[in-house]
Amino acid sequence: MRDHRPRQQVWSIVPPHMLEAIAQNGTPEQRQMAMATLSADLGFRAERLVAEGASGTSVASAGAGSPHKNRSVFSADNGTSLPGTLKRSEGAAATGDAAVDEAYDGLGGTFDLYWEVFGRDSIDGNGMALIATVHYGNRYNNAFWNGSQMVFGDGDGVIFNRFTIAPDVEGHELTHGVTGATAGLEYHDQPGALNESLSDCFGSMVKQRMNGQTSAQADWLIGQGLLAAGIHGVALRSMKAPGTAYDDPTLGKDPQPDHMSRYVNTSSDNGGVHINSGIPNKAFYLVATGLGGNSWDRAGPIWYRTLTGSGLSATASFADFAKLTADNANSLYGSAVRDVVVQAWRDVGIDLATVASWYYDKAVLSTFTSPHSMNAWAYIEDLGWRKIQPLTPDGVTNMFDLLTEAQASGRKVHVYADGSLIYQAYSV
Amino acid sequence: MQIIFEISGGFAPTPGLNAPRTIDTAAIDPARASELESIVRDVEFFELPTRLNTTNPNAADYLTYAIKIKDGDRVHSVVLTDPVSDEGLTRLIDILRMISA
Repeated sequence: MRDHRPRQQVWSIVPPHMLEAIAQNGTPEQRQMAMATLSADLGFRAERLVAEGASGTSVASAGAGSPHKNRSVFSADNGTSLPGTLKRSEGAAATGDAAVDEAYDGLGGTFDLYWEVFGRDSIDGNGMALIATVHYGNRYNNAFWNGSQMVFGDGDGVIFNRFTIAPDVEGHELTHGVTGATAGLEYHDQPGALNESLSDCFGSMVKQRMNGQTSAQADWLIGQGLLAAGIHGVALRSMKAPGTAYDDPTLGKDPQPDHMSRYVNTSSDNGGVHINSGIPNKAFYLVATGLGGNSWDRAGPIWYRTLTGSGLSATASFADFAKLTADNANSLYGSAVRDVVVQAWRDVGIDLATVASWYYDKAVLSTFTSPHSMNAWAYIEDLGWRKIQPLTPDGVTNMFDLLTEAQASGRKVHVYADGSLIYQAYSV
Repeated sequence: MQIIFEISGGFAPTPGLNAPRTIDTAAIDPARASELESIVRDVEFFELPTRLNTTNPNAADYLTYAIKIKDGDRVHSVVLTDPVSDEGLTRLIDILRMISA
């Protein structure tokens, strides 16, 4: 009994801006037709643009060109057809429908963060239209990203209020689009928890920036106001104190861990993507508050570069991600900020000193051997002193000679190292 | 008819709401039981594939519904995720959700 109905095809030669004008100023019949065409066309456009994003097209460089803020908020009128009926398009006045207007404002705050802070023109970096549908389903207790657009339920009023009520939820859902268009983190286990955490981090920055709050002033809650009256809790998640957002007879207790020692191994929730995200969430909170000022001043750019840079694989682990944030902190702001990032990850149980990685095209700045040449060290550009400890049985002397020669000649090296040891080295 | 209904995932998965619920139509309001049995028949539940729809690889925060129904000697399980477009299945999920609350 599958739905075999063919996709409705939409053919329109009227440009969208004209349709929008008709939708606002035409006769009732014209308005109805224009809105129906816009509804279908925007849904179609969203799918196409996401497909383009997934194929790796267009990530804007910071501050280049002009932004293309283009929001459209639809209503599913308590059904499940998407995107539904257009209720508010870019530049239109408030409708008086709280869900429509909250979604519109939340999308705006999210777009502004990405453009004004990170120079990213919408989800795909190329002005992709932002589409949200509210009043989805019957007392529907959820908000989700379907790969093309955001979808928000009204909540049942008993456990949850409407899901548009917190701007960090809009920021969260839209960031799933950004992640899909960039790193494409797989939605399970640790890469899935990173995917979720990134949505919380950027969603929280959206909220803090809309509220004009510094990291110290922010509450670091995700979904504040979403829990209905009578539910024992303050929000759905706490980035500051994961595991403390709610404790209620109906909901149970917030299951988020705040440290790797409490990592939850589970098959539910796609391997605990909304549970273990508490660990990287806490790390981001520690970095932002450790650096002071606004979360989007330095912590945000470090996380943004990590998300959008080429080093983050779709299957990244927490440790992989943590290492990239430390590298990006170093390249963006120097070693003092890197130290704050390293300490934050250490505080949640991820010790970067134990994560070995390849470092490419580094200069050897100094070398040193102990008496009798039993032990040797090298000072590598961007890394500092590391003890030479080869994986291969050709001994310390060969690698020490290679590194000393590289220092003398000025040739760069590739090294495989962790926080204290060099395991392999090649001269370039 | 016995129905085991479980919701997982979503923006806000919570331990309390994600535990499996068992519904015995003999133990609920007869009108509601009749409606449930009618929907199960109309959607041809026992003929449905075990995995009804697949999600877009970039989708996130969607709810997943696992429905297992025992009726006499027939037993069948179906897993489906949002968005659910079929009206009968949407109604079935809505009723199961209401009864489970």
